[in-house]
Parts: sequence; C-alpha cells; structure tokens
Amino acid sequence: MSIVLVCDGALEQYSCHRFADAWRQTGRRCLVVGAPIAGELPLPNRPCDLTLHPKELLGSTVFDHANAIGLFLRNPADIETITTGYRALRQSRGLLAAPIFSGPLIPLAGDDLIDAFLRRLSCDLMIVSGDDQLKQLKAMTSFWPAELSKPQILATGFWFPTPPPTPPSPKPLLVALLQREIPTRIGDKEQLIRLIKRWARGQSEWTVVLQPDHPWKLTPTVPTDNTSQQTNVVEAAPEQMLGLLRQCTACLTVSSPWSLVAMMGGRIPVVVGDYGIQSEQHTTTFFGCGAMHRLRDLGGLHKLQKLPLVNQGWLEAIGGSIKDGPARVLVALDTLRPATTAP
Amino acid sequence: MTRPLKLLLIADSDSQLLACEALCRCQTAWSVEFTINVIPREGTPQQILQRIANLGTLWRQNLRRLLNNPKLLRFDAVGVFLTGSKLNDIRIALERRQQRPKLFCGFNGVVLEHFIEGISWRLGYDLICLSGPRDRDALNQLVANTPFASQQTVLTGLQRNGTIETLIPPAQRPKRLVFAEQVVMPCSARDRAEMVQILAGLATRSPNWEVLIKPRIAPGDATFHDVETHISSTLLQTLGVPPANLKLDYRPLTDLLRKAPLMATISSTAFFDALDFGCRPVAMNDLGLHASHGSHVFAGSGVWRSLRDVHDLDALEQELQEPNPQWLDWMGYHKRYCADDLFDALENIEPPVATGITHCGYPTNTQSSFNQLRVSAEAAICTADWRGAADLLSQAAQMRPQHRGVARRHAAASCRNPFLRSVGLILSYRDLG
Repeated sequence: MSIVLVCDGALEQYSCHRFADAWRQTGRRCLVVGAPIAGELPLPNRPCDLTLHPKELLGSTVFDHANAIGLFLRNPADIETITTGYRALRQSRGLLAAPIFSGPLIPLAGDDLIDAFLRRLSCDLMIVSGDDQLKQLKAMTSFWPAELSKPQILATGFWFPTPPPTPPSPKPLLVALLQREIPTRIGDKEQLIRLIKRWARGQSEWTVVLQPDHPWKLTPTVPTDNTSQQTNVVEAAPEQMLGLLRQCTACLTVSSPWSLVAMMGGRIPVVVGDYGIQSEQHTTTFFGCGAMHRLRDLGGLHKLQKLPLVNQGWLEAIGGSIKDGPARVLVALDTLRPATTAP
Repeated sequence: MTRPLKLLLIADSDSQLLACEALCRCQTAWSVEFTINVIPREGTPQQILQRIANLGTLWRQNLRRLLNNPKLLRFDAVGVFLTGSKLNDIRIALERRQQRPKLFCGFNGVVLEHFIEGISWRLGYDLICLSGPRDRDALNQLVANTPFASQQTVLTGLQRNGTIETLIPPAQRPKRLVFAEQVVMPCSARDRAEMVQILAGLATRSPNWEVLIKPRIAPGDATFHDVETHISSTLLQTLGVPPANLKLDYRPLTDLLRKAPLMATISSTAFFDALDFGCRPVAMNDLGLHASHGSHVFAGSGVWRSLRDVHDLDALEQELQEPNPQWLDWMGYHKRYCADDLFDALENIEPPVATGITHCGYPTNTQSSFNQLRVSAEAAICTADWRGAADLLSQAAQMRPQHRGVARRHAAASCRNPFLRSVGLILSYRDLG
C-alpha cells in the first residue's frame, strides 16, 4: 500500500512526516509531497520527499499508484478542488480512485469544527483530534439523510508525539508563542509583547523566549522597544520550538495550537483570555482548558508558577488520551478501500 | 402561588423582541405579569413594538437608566434577551446589589452559529433557557469537567405559538408558498441572487400558486445583523421584472403562515412557527451545506430538499413528507418543552447569590473586551461603585493606552472629590449605546 501525503504548511508538513514515519515502520510505503516553505521555521526543517506545489499534483503522476491520499492543506477549498479533479481523472481513465482522507490536524470546536467538516464532505475519511470533536460531529450529522455523502470520522489525537515529561528548566523560563494574525486587532500583538517585556524587566531571574509559531523572515518579527536591550528577553532561534516548549516553566499564548505540546508536557499554560472566547481569535477551542487568564489579573511573571496546570479532563477529551493515531488511520483506510474506490 | 410572577424582559433588536413576544404569548398555568423593556434603538420595527405593547407593560429605557431604576428589585425575575456584552453588563450590575431578582436568559430561536461564544456570555446566569436536547447536549459537553458543570438550564422549546385553536384546513387555504427570508443566510450577493432565481423558477412553473417572500425586515428597519442589500433590491437586481405570482409580502409572518399550506426557508426559526400554524415547511437545500447558511442544522429535518428539482408546487404539496419527528424533538419542537418549565424553575431555584462566582483559569467572556470593560464601568458608575468603575477603566486603559476617552473617564471615576468627580463624569460621558 502506498500512501501519498500532501501538505502545504509547517504544521501540516511536520504532521505528515510523523504519519509517514510511523507507517513506514509497519512496512507501508509513503510519500510526503508539498511545496517548500519560505523563511525560518519554528520546527526542525525536514523537506518533503517530493517538492511539488499541490496545484500541480493533478498534472503529475504522483497519485497514479497511490492506495490512499491524505490532503493536509491549509485552504480547504484546495482539498475540494484536488478531490474532485483526481476522481474525475481516474474515472475518465476507467481506474479506481484511492480513498482520500483529510483533517484540520489541530483541535477545533464550535463553528470552526463544523466548517472544517463541511468543507471536507468530499473526502472518504476525516480525522479529528479527540472524542469531543467526534461527538460534536456525530451529533450534528445524526439525523442527516443516508444519501447525503459524508466522510467517516475518526479521532486520532494530537499531531505531535508526546514523549514522557522531562523536568523543567532549572531556572524559570517563559515561552511566549506568537501567532501570525492573532490577536486580530491592529496593535494588540505589539501591546502583548510590550507587556511581556515589561514583566520580564521586573523579574530578571526569568528568561523569556518570544517564539513565533509560524515561519518567519530573518528580519525581526517582533517590535523593538526604545528602552535599553533586555538580556532576559530573546527571540527564539529557528527550529527550536518543540525543545523549548518541552523544557519551559510556563507557556503563554492567545490560541496557538502548539501550546498543547507544553500542556502535554505538564508545563504551566497561560492562555491569554483578554481577547474573549471568539472564533475570530481561535479561542473557542480553549474553552474549558482551565488555563485561561486575563493578563491584568496576573500582573507579572512571578505569579505564573502559582497558576494551575491544564484541566486534564479537557485535554484528554480533545485528543490528549489518544496515543495510537497513525495506527488508527491505517486501520480505517484498510476498511475504507473496498467500499469507496469504485469510480 | 398566591400572587402573579412578576417578570421583566429586556431586549433591543427585533429577533430578541420576537423571543420575548413568544414568551409573553405562551400558554401557561402560571399567572405572570410581564414588563418588557425595549432598549431604544434606531430602526426597531414599529409593528413589533405595537404587538409587544399589548402583551404587558412596555418600558423604553436605555441600559444606563434601567440599571439605575429602583423598580428593578421589585421583579421576581429578569429575563435578558440581549447580545453578548450587554448580557454580561446586566448580570454584573445586578450582582453588585445585596438582593436582586433571579436572572435568566435565552437564545432567540434556533442557534445556527456562535454557540460557544453565546454560552460563554451566558454562563453565570441563574438559568439559561435552551431550545431542546440538541443545545442542552452541546452545552453539557462544553462545560463538562469545568466549574460550570452545574450551570442550570431549562428547555423551553420551539413551539413558540402554543396550540392554535382555529387552524384553517389546508384544503381551504389559498395556494401559497411563504418563503421566510433571512438577512444573512445566505450572505453573499451571488447566493442570494441564486436563491431568488430558484424561487422565481418555482413560481413560473406553478402559475396557479402564489410565492410570497416574507422579508425578515422592512427596508430601513434594523436587525441584529447589518443588511447591505434588502431583498426587495435583490429581487429587482436578479430578475428585473419578477413573475406576477412572486411577490414580497410584509404582513406579519404568523398571518401569512396561518393562511398558506406551504412554507420554505434556508434555516429560519420560522420553520417551527409554520408547524404551529398547520403550514407544512420545507428546508431548501439548493445552496448546499455551508456552516454560514445554517443548512447543516436543517439537513436532518427530513424535509431538506431541492426546490429547483421540484416539478411544481402542486407536486411538492402532494409528495412533501412531514418533518422527522425525532429531529423535531431533538431541536426542541415538542409540547413537553415549554415556558411552564421556565416558570417552575424560576420558582424553585435557590435565591441568587449577591456576587458572581469566578473561577481561576475560566474567565469565560466576562469582562474580556475593551468595549465591555467600558460598558461595565458605566454600570458601576450607575451604582456609585467608584472603585469598581476605576478598576474597569484602568484595565481598559491598559488595553488601549492611546484612547483618550477612556483615560478621561478613568481620571473622572478615580477622583476622590465628589464634586470634581461629578463634573468630570459629566464632561467625559459618551453614550456607548
């Protein structure tokens, strides 16, 4: 069985490699296909096995011998386009179509989850993170007519491996996960960074690492202050995010999904609650995490070590309890093949 | 119960008023005296205001005046049917008092989107009204393993018009299909044009029928959502001259449903009103499944079908099934979900605590936005809670240090001299709506 995994973002590429590595160990052949990612990466740079822009896929021979195709593209419209085009091509050639699977990879909730599902209706299998997501979608579709085609849904846990927790850094370390577009209002991100820097000035025993959770350019991504250079606030070096998240004392974010790495490692999470629980800020997923705090209530870094850990029940329900995600996908794909490949 | 239950309902936009109207009209064994405070707002449809005025005592006070009104404490319960931040303002303002009425809130019909956001504004109310098991299950899943797991809810259902005694038999109704238009579902001009085109095609194929589009609002009226192009314009832009039997009809929806055998919608709560009036509903699926249309909710109705594929309305009338009763029940359309349960619950819940409960790590949407901090500060000023107001304004000023209006208000509220504070508050006052 040959599985082709298509991706177009840093998180997606990382996840596809993880799937491919796990499946190769079971003797399956896999190919990770995607476009190169520009800029400095937060994750270890591991190029795709085949560099090809997803839009060029249908004109290539990549899918010709695939037994299953995983589409992990940031824009769900691309998934629909490729799925439809691929099946039409196969049908025109009188060939069977391989099952197509996809998923948002990160835990979603509410409208974001519904939207992610509805935009993948053409797929054969949709993977979601946890039992919470599975329950929401099953409830939503429970009365849908049988003739309305929809993908099977499978919970596969988080997109990153979870090694046993290690002791935290001997000196207090805060990793502030910075998102590209969140918080959404102009100036809010800069204001957040200024506040973190102010906190750091007052607590020199802390080290603060400003860590973009997305690819960034070599030029500084965070604004510089007019104040003198602080030695305990640094911008993260490329490709170090996972290590930092696993050894930090606390991890602060508005809604970066990578904060789950720190949560799974038993680190103190600080999900910034100042921007409300809103789809636009991607904070709806974090409702229930038990780690959402308003910065004004915290007042400084010295208070972080007294904060509670993540709500374990929430973490497990959104995917933290699932350790065998890649194996689950394989089993599901094997069951799918005979039923869904007819042209 | 020896005396009537005194309820104050607070609303501003038209859909909230419709929810209040449904509650006032409910058939109940309880004796209830309703007062409805409609927060003054430009564009609120006069038609609804007139109807509301006949259902109880009508107040027209803005939030600031209302929160300062000593008569608030005379009510047994206050039902708040407002949008997120205002829900919060009222709760916080009332929780400042030693004694307060019980507080409940609800949603305005079927919840199609933003359920998590909506719940996060409502948590902390003594009672949250939900439509049916669908909403209750979603809420339970959301608050499981959190300190909000004990949030009290009551299912009040979607049978909003009670049992109608004098239904006109379908055979005696004029051949009409009522289409319940929604202002943002669908939202794009392209989808709205397609929707109109499909209705026009159906009207053309059914010359012995009338297809009446019931606009959600009249031109110039306001609703919760901003309306870019009124349906009357879409009709002209799409069709030029519509078929003679396709018309806009501004009469109250209930009047139209009472006399029509069929109704259609994308995802309006009017679907359930139609059932109340013996009018058979169909959910239009021609625009596909999109979260922003609410179509995923109606796909399980059992009557989710294409109007483009319908031969004509005679054929639709013949072949149209009844909605799936299990889906109806799941949504909340069953007589066992009713306002009586709300009144029972209000009677039985524990007396409210004076101050709200906060949980470390679970701030919900309370006091999270800049604007909300400002409005909450105004509520604190109304109750002469100068320290609370100064705290809130200080937090808002931290969020937006460049905002001069907040800085001035903060300086005024922080002033210890009562005379200077009063002058400062007058000078720095801005109507936040």
